[in-house]
Amino acid sequence: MEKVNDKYDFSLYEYHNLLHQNILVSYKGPIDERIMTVIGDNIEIVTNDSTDKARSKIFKIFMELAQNVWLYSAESCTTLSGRRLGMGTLVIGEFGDSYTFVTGNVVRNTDIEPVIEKCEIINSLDRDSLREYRREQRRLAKDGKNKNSGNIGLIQVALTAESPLDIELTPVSDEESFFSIAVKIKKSNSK
Amino acid sequence: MESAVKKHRTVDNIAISYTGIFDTEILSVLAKEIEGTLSQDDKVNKKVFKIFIELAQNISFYSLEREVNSEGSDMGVGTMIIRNFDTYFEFSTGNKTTMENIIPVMEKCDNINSMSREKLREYRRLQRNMPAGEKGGGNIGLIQVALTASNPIQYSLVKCEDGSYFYIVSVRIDKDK
Amino acid sequence: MEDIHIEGVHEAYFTPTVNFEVATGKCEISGESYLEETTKFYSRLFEWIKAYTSTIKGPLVFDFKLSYFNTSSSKCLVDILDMLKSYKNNGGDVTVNWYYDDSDEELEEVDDFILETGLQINKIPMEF
Repeated sequence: MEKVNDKYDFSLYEYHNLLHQNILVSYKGPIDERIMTVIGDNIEIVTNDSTDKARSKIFKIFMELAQNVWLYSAESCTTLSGRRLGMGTLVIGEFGDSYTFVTGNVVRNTDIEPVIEKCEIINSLDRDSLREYRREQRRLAKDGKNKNSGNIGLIQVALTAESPLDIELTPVSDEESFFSIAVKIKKSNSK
Repeated sequence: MESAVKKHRTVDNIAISYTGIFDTEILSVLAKEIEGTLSQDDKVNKKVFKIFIELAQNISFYSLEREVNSEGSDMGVGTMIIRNFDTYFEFSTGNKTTMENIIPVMEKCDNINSMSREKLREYRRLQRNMPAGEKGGGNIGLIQVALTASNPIQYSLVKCEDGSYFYIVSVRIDKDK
Repeated sequence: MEDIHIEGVHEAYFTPTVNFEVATGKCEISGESYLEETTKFYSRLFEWIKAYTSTIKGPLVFDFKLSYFNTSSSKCLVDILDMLKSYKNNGGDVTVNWYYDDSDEELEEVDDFILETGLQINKIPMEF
């Protein structure tokens, strides 16, 4: 690679390539419903070579995971009108006959245990048990016993994706870690 | 791909990053949404917004890599980053391009950077009165960016393996101006 | 009692189209449901059902034709189904038709609503 005119300590080219390999859309920043619309629209454009069913799955998963970042990310910023927006990363890529959707955000270490536990439970259940788990959690939520409704979203994601929730946790400081979830969706989904 | 997600985290100072299709209609919504989140200063926010739109438009028009949206409109693919430093924001965009596309642009940047503000405004008036080029306001876009940012436009070119070029444009917005 | 007529909207948020008719007991919820304040939106529908089942006490025919609803919405939808089940248990004339996008996953969701509420629901596949 020949750099014609390089003035940077940070290579946007390398960054772009790292992101661009197999990646269709990548976003890092604040997230709210309008930004979700922007990213969602772009995802729709780049996934137009898959079936309607696959796109519908991607959409459902995107909505749940993006909303989780918006609401529960420990990293946030405030708009001029005083609205708090969670910040994180949303990436959709393609590998062979599948799409991979990944979200990442900072979490406080003190908050992370229950989420990891939930993911492990979700990954350990077969489909029927997962559906039962969702029914159970929904009941608990309606009875006011389930504080964090992001969890039902995770169950929904696992059911829609038909793949386990691929979790990664990376410490970034003494108090916080970066938490990412990845799921796969087959492009040729017809069911 | 998880490493790419982590990269967002580890590269310093990145406040906003977007890689994908630059559909300017859609992205203007993004620009509006993030407007208040970087700074409390109205003036700075306006600059961020204006520059975002201009640079997004440049990628949309000029990127070699393209996609078509559901309405059949074709648009460019690239990367845009906003980095947050103590005294300034730095906007960078990157997209693939060809040598023939880029030489006039680099010349334009050099030209723009060499002008005083007065001269730049005169240049913009001149360009505005010219017949619209194939891609419309692309001529004025960079001039507008330089005027809005009140800083020089920095550019860089990387040759890619497939013979095309990756063109990077950066400009700073000072926080206290 | 008044009818409810809400025009569905698809913007950054999605409001479903809602038509509840007092005279006929015909009720429809269709489109997409992803709301800024889910409970607030659905409370109005809950109030209507409460009022209808305690004062009018006529038959209720509910048609659900939702192409998308998020998990917050699903809680409120189950609430509606619970209310219909109560009404049925008390002798009310209730018919529920659930139109779903023809896929295994969507069918599962309706089956889960049936299991969760014990309500009899007619499952009708359709192309959205």
